[in-house]
Amino acid sequence: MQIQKSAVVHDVIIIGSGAAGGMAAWNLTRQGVNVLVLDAGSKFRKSAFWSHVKPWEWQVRLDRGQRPPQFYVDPREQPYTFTKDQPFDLMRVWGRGGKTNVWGRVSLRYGDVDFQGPARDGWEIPWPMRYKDISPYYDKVEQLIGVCGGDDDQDSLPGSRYHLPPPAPRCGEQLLRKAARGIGISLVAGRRAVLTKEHNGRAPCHYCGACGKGCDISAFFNSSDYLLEPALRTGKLTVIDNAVAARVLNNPEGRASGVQYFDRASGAEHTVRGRIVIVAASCIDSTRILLNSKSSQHPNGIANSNDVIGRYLCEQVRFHMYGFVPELAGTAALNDDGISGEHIYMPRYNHRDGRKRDYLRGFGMQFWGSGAQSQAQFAKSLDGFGADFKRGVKRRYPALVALHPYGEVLPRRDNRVTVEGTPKDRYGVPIAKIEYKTGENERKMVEEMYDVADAMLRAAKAEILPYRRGHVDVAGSAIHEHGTCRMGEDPKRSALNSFCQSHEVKNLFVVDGAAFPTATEKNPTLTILALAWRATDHLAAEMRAGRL
Amino acid sequence: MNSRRQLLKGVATATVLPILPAAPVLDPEQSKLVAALVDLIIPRTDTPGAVDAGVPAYVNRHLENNPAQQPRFGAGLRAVDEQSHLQFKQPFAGLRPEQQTAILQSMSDRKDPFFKFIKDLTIDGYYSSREGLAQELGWQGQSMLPEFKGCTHPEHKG
Repeated sequence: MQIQKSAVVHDVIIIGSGAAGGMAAWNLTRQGVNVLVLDAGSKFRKSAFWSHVKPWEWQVRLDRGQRPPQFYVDPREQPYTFTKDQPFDLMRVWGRGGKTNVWGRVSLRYGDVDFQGPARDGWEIPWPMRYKDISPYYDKVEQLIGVCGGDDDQDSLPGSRYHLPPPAPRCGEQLLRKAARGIGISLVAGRRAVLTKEHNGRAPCHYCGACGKGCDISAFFNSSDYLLEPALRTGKLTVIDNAVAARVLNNPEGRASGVQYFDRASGAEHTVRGRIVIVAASCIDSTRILLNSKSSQHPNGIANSNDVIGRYLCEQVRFHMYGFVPELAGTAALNDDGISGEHIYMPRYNHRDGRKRDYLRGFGMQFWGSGAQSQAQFAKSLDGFGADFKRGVKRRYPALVALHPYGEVLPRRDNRVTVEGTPKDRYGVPIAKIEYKTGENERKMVEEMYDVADAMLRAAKAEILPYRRGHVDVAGSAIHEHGTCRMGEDPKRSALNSFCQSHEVKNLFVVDGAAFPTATEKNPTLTILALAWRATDHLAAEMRAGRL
Repeated sequence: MNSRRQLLKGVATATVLPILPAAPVLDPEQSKLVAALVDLIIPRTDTPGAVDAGVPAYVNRHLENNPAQQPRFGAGLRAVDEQSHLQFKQPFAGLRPEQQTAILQSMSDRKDPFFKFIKDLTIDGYYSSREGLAQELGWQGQSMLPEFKGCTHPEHKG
């Protein structure tokens, strides 16, 4: 097949349009830089969202041949592999805005507890930055996208002056908060990128609770509406849709010179040229692209002579525990939708007050799915049948509280993404193989996570739904992959500097979660946005100075 | 229990289902048996039961969309009728309610996998129906509200 080569040389080519790529495109175009974004999908039409379709209307619509937007990439279209005994669930959204179309919206600042944790405990490398380096960017991101939250401020969850008002807690959340306080655990207001009041001209949330199906009024941040559309209005941005990036190309000096991609519909091969390449395709896909970018200058994949790229994959361990609080059992159900997801959060505290622990790092806790839900899955864990069973479900339904502890998984050299000898995708490009397992540290942390969740439910005098102690979700479930192209001070042990710039190939940047040296227990998107903003400020300054 | 991931997956799966003709997977005898079973699991009380909420059709559609589960399901139904013949010399659908309940109770007590399977399907179908979710449980979600008041009970604060 003939390769279609464009003669245009773009200032910057960005692979991916999610939180990372969208921020890079927005921040560069507003500074006058010409940008080309390659998106592996296309725009999701808001008019076609099923946000307000009631559960019983779904089948009726499906029968009519209607379909909701296909947000998630079907692994049959774009496969990946893993070792047989270590399954890994990889969730990908290709299309303008990527996963931010349907993300969980939890927006938590990382603190020096996170950035310098490895320096304290000696496990792998610390972040090449301190909170003071990133906090101005957290401020700017929060003002731009709108994050609701409280006025709390602690070492493991630094505060913000820019939060929108937090939503009122639900009844079950109030009761959990009281119970947790009784055993010395502080639950704070949840922080989410949801507009609880009008913000920058955008309409506020109307509390329909269907965020996971996409927001038809953009009342929570998504990269397409908040970043790409304003960038397009500058006239400096070009987006190529359905462009599945395969490799970063390089010139004889080894510098990045362009990108090879395949048209998702026709399969046709294209190359585009650029002075700078920013990879932002989400952790695993970015890593796959970098490792497949082999040349005589870069036999181990571009910018990977130190064999760091692909290694140190880290995510989070989590599980779910449920209970029914007595105060709410048998009451009339309320509309508990709120901003969807929990309105409270348990910040990490296990490092404080001389507490002894036999493992490294820590965990936090989320509470989504508490209160009246649009289903009653808990009923499957109740014994019996018949009228008594039916009454039991109804009695418990308004009283449901859900606990979801998230714990950090340590970065390990052998937890990795490779492309050596893997099957090829429909474009003839090797797919990613994920080798990933957790170890003794996580097992010990999960023990304490179970203790804490159980103690909190007991303190609330809740009826605890039967659970299997020690069980954790399949790897990848948190959808927080990190580490495979990590930043660091030492060019021998890291791939990027603190500006997400390759140590080895100066005109190559990787701005998504792959750049994180550690996973932390927190949700990464706010930090991805802040890092991508900071990285592209640096990039634009380097361009102006003529160094790039 | 449903995790966020399972919910996401449910959405993802529901979107790729092929449109199949409404050819019923279950024959009339099997359909009668399914109706009897789901109505025992969630009966009509002062609110609608599983049959009122269309759960038999839900079960049929689930099997249409998951053909690999059909043989196991068919075997499960046959086992129920065999047990019924053994104990009461009649097919299950023709038994008196207390006889049906006795058979189901013993399946429930011994954690019979087929009982668990059809019970879970009944829960999925019933509590996603208007009758089960809105009428029985009182769900009022997915509404557009000008304000979210949250908990207004002073006694829940502390």
